[in-house]
Amino acid sequence: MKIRSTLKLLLLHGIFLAVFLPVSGATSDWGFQTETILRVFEREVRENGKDRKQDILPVYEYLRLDVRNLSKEELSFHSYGWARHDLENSGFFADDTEGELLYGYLEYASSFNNFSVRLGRQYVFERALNESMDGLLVNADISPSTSIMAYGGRPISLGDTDGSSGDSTVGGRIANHSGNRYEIGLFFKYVANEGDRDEEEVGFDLSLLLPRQISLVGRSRRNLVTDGWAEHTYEGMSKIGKARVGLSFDYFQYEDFLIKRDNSANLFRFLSDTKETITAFGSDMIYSITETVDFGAKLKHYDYDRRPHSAQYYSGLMVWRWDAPSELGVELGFMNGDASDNRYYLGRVFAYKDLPPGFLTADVVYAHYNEEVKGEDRSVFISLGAGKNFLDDTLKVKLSGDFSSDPFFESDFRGMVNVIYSFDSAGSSE
Amino acid sequence: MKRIGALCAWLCLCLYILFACAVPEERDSIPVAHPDEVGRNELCTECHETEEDSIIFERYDHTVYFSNKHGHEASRSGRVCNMCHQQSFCNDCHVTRTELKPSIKNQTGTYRRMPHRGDYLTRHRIDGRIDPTPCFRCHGNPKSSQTCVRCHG
Repeated sequence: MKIRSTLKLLLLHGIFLAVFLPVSGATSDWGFQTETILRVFEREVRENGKDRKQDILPVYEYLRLDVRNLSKEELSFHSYGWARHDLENSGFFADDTEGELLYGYLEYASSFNNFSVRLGRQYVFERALNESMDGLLVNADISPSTSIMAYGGRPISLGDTDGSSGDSTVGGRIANHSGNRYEIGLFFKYVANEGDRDEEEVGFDLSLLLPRQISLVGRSRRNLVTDGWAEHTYEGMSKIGKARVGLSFDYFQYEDFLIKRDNSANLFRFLSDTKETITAFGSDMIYSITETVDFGAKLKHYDYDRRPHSAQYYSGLMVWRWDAPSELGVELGFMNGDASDNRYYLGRVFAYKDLPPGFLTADVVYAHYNEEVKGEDRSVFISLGAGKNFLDDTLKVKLSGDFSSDPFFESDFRGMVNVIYSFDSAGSSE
Repeated sequence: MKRIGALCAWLCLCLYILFACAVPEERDSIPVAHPDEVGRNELCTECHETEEDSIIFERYDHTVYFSNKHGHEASRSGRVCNMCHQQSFCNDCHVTRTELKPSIKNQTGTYRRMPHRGDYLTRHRIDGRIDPTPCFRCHGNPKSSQTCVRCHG
């Protein structure tokens, strides 16, 4: 099973290259990116009832392939996946899959009416609709002011739950819009596991551009299985002089949001039973002190229906860009929960120094916990990195080393090498 | 009663579609790729005026907080993101099953200020108690919760 999943990605790429490239070779342009990652770290593994320290040396391969202009200008193929091999055969990954095809789809995308069709494994992400599936997705503007999106297929998330033969998902959205002044959408989602209704929800979303450059976006989602509102999430933003100010409002009902059906995770199910609701108000601000220095601040307040506590998170950030993209940033945060064990201070310094054709990076994260966790009340994380580009930036090599001392690891060193080779016959994008 | 509710819903939908089709303002087609290469720290609004286009460009400016709050923008129009980013760029984080968390895979991407950097194993106990909904968005299904299963079962 694991071998099959690991080989699936390579097989798909191979078949596709063999079938399509010779046919479309004269007109198509194509690109690929291979990222090989070697990690080294130490963990305790259990063997014959005893724990022992073991070096873990996994190597990962992330492979992306894009072929455009397949016989027609609008037709393209895209795929991406990863596979892992444990060089030490440590048993550390014994329960984990060895690879996954993340997406692999044919796309027809026309500039006329923003029409597009995707067929294959893909990630659907449209407003509150968020699904990874093997299936068909259609997007189109059916009139100058109306867009539709519809999809149907087999959800990937339920693949390991009671088999996958009767699994299905369908969803869609219809939206009315007028330039960038407003967009209002209605959406629907249905998921079945083994033919039984697992999720069903409807909702609406909106996007408004008000006078004085005030923009408002958000959505509300109703769970039809539990017959309650899962979430209301809205966010406004405006520019006042050199400052950008944002306000947010979030409301969640655990029973309706943290679903208890097959397409959810165990750890959230007991939370769903608490029937808690959470209301959060937030605000953030970014102020450009000079052309090279930005200051940011954040505040978020959390309130609950059932719990007697509330919590606030405050943070401030300063970023100095002296020779873009080189930058140095400092961030301080404070989580202030009413409950004593819900408080921590967070400090972070991050730096990126551009040294063409290479770069240096540093990241330090310090946390102080109000109550001890496993006998420790603080953690330090330090990461140093460097990279260099070769062959006209088509080959990138990145090295990084991390150190962490925290409640779970007294002294943890990790190392990583990334080797990325990209080719794109028509220019590249990240 | 349910039939009346369903009928009203269908009626509203039909009226909505009729109204939608009657408003004659066309939306611009979004190009497949951005015509010029854009640097990491360049903002959309340095070149684009929000009033003149169908995209609210200010919301897509990659400011210091963009990595924390790009969800609304990315879900509004993935095609805007795809002008500069391949789909795989998004799927390094937003995916059903991956093993390397984004802050590890992009270890040297310090400028992204990824939220799981450092000792998140400890911090997530507090963040999760205060607000588990962001955890659920990414780790809420049987496959994406595999990283949680080792401890949480």
